[in-house]
Amino acid sequence: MGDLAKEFVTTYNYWVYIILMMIGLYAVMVKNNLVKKIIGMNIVQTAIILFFISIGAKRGATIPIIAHGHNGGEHAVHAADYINPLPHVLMLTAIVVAVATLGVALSLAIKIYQEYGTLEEDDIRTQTREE
Amino acid sequence: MTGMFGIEYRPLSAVLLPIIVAFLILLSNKRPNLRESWTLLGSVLLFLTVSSMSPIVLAEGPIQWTWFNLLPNIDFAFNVDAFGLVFATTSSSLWILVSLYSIGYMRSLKEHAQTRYYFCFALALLGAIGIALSSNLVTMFVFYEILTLSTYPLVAHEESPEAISAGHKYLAYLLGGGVFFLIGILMTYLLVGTTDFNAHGILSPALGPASKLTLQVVFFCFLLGFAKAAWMPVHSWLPSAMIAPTPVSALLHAVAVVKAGVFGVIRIVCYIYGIDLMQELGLGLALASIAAFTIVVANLYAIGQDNLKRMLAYSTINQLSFILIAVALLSPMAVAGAMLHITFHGFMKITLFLCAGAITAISGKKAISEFKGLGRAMPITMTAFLIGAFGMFGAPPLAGFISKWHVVLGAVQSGQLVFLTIILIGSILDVVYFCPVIINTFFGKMPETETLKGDLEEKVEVYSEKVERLETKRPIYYFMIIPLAITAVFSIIFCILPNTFSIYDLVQMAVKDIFGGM
Amino acid sequence: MNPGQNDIIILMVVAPLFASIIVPIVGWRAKKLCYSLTILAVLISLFSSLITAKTVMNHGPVQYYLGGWKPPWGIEFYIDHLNAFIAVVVTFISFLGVIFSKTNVENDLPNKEGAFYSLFLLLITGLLGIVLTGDMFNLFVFLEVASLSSYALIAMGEKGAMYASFRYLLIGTVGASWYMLGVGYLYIVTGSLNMANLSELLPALYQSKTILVGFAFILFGVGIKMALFPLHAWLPDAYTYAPSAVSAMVAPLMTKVMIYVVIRVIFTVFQPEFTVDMIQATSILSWFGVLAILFGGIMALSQTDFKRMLCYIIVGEIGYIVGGVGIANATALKGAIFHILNDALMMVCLFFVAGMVMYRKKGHRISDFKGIFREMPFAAIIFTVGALAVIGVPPTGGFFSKWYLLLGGIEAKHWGFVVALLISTLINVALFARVFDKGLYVHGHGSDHSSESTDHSSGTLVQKTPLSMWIPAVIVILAILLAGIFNQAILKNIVQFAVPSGL
Repeated sequence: MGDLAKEFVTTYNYWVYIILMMIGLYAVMVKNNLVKKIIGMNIVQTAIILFFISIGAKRGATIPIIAHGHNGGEHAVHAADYINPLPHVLMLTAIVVAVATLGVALSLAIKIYQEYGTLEEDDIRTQTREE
Repeated sequence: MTGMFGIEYRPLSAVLLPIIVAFLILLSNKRPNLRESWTLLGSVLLFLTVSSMSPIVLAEGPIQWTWFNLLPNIDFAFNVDAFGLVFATTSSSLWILVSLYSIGYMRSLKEHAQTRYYFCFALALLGAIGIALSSNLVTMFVFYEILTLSTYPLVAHEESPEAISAGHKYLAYLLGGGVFFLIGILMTYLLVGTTDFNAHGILSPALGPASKLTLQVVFFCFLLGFAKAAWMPVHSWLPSAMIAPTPVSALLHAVAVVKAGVFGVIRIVCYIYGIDLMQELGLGLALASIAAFTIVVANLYAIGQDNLKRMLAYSTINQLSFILIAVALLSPMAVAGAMLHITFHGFMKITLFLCAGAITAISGKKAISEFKGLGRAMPITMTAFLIGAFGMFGAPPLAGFISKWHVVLGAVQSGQLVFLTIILIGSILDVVYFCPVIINTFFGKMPETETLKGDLEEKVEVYSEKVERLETKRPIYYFMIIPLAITAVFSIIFCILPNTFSIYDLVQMAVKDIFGGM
Repeated sequence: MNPGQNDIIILMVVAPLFASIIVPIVGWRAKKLCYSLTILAVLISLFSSLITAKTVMNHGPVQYYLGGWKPPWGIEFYIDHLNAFIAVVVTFISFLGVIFSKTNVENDLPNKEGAFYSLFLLLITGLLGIVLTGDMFNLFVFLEVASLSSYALIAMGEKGAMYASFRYLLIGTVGASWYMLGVGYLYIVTGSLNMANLSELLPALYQSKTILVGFAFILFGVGIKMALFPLHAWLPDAYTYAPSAVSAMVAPLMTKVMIYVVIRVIFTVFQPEFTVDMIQATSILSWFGVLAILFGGIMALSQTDFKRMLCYIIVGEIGYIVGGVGIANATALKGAIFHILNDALMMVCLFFVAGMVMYRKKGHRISDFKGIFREMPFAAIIFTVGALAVIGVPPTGGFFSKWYLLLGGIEAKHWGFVVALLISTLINVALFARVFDKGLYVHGHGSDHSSESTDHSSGTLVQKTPLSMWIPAVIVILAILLAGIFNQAILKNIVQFAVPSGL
């Protein structure tokens, strides 16, 4: 029990992302309202972004800016002193992608509302079946 | 034919001709006369091309022509050997006659979709010729599938639900068989790395690495693949396919398609497995047993039939198995008989089918019990029918006699007396089921007056001294009567001069390649 | 290798990308220009992919460093025989798809030329990017570019398309997110995103559970995108309701490109010793392939809509390729890679037919095919060739890829796959016989012998199917036949080298 608790605490960032992703997936799969589904989808994406950000972090490290410039020469650069910037950069791209997806999804939802007059999945399905 | 095409290109031109004809037919679909002249011209040219190859093959051996590489060690290639030419000559010569006949038949019945009919017919011929000339299993498979697919619209030609379901049955049996054929090819390729036909077989090196059982299973895959040979129990597509127009039944379901099946089996037995391997694996006996079973059962089915075409279908099944049993005896004489029977049976059976078609088209009758007195109304047709029927039985001086004689000798040669008995019983049963037709037509009395359905609805006075000659009533009927008379005459010529079209020489040469002598 | 050849590579992606920006601007003023600009851009792509393929065939793999940054820091485009081959397939099919789209856009999407072609070009950009890139994360970005544009394109279709596209978007986004997650796991332990670099770093870590989790997420993510059974549920609706031109292009390409990603991940990023021997992922995949083949076939049989039937055939065809990849011997993999080409060709061919029939008969149910052999003989011929290729009748290309798949299956003694392939062949016969019967037999009951007149109703109608529809279709059937006849040339010169070493 102690080990498990310890593992849970030390790797809490993973647990957070897993729980978030599950919440998101639950919404995508179970919720009846299309907007809620979109929110769920966005939570999944956010969870993964969080995961990426968290793996860049290091205990006791600082932001990767070398204050004294290239030719300062006063400090040798210790990579261990800085957090890993690459995941952040990647996530900038991922956020852009997520926003774009969100945009497309919302515009589709609007169009669906115009077509069916509802955003409830059940109603849409009954309407499609009736045809 | 020299000059333009060198010898080595003749196999190619034989294959290209039907394709060109097929597309010319499509292009001229609005002008029936032009369309049908293409068919006739194409068939004559094809026959000339094919038969021009036989003297060369007889003198100098097989003509080989490789087009391109299909798969490693497998080329898309033709190898015109003596045996292939036997089949090719038969199909191409009969195409001419059936084309003539088709014109008469299709026009007098005012059939629909005639362009499709002639188009598919030309493609079917392409399949048959390709199968005959191909030099390896894969090339053969290509044409085998073309033959299957191109005949499907012909079987379903009538477009009634019944015809379409017969077409589906046809596809299911033959393409299902094709799948097994493909497995056989794949296994052969995996075992020996090649699929080229060789007169001594190619699979013998595989025995050792592969077990006997594997090779036996592969053989049955091939056999299932050649469902076109209509052995029992994969025969039932053939009687159903009789719903097709009669010229189709005549050329395709008496010659091209079913003979392609038998041809394939002979190729497998002699050119893929080889005689020695067949004996070692005991497959000859197995094949002969299947064929013997088919002969007996098909004969019994035939006896009960009232529909003439269905009866002929069962007769075809029986005769095909006669060829299979002859091959399975694995003796030189019997194999020679089998090869001869491909041609001779083709001519005789086509005569019977053409007669059946002529009867239907001219008098509107299909059931044997309605044929009373037709012998007087259609004397030429019925005489031809008589010739064909006796040929089936194997009576001299008809072609069937020659081939059956060889097979009987072959059976004695290999000492298989059980199968000899079955062959003889089969021949006797042949007489039994043809009897009602002959009795009805020549000795039966036609009812006093009757409405004849052909094209003209009118009362015809029959069974008086001046019986109306139905055959010569309309000029278009000559298109039907002449071809069937020609095939009947050929059935006789083949007995007197078995070497017509060099058939006998070719068969001798093929047997010599396989066995090293008769 | 001189730098000029390197630049050609990037042109493949940049041409459609820039064009996708220019097209809507131009479309503001001159709608006609959109179409020709799009064609021009795709043509440039096609040529550069051909030149690249030629270079790869002669000199081996080529690279292009984006922005001049060398890997493992920079993003590189790495082109070997495998993706050179796929790139040609993608550009070729896109080219035909663009030509085909003209009438469809004019009739069904009036005044949307700019948007349509812009999205179309973005889709092509995305697909090509996925194929060319040598960087795992970059692949994700291109994947989303392609996916987002395909969601939008599909939504332009007939009634029902919106909802289908929306469902596709939800599932697709989850799939892509999982892919990204998997990449993240690989990144945690290796610190690299470059494929070549990863494949050097990973073998030391094959025992790690993190790697296994990453691999599983990537596979599931990509599996959703390529509609591998049982993750296929989004596909039939989406491709059925999409505009003809879109389904003709997305349906053959999207799934095929994702299969390329699977091959890449299984055999390049990870080595066969891990995926084949250690965790036996391939053997599991091959059984999913078998299930996909059977399920796709059976579902296809029960459809009454031609396009939907094609969709289920795609599910089955994916099974073919995945099964071939899963068998993981050189012969089967050769077959699988070659089948990517053949399947793309025959699917585009059949979707073209669906588009032509849709154009003439305003529907794509199988019952709409009644009498097409008379009314639309060209479409009928194209349909026949496509159907024969799907069934696998020689000399179409379909036969030869099936030949290698079967041969590989027998070599590996994977009888389940062999039997499934053969059964699916028969199912395909039944499928197409149904459409064929509808198209060919119009007389019915044998009573309607209305003589010759019905024989000649074609002719004038041929011209009604516009040139922009049947030219690409004719090219496609020629390509199907040539792919069969010259299969050895294709296999020996390029596919053979695309098979990963170590098999």
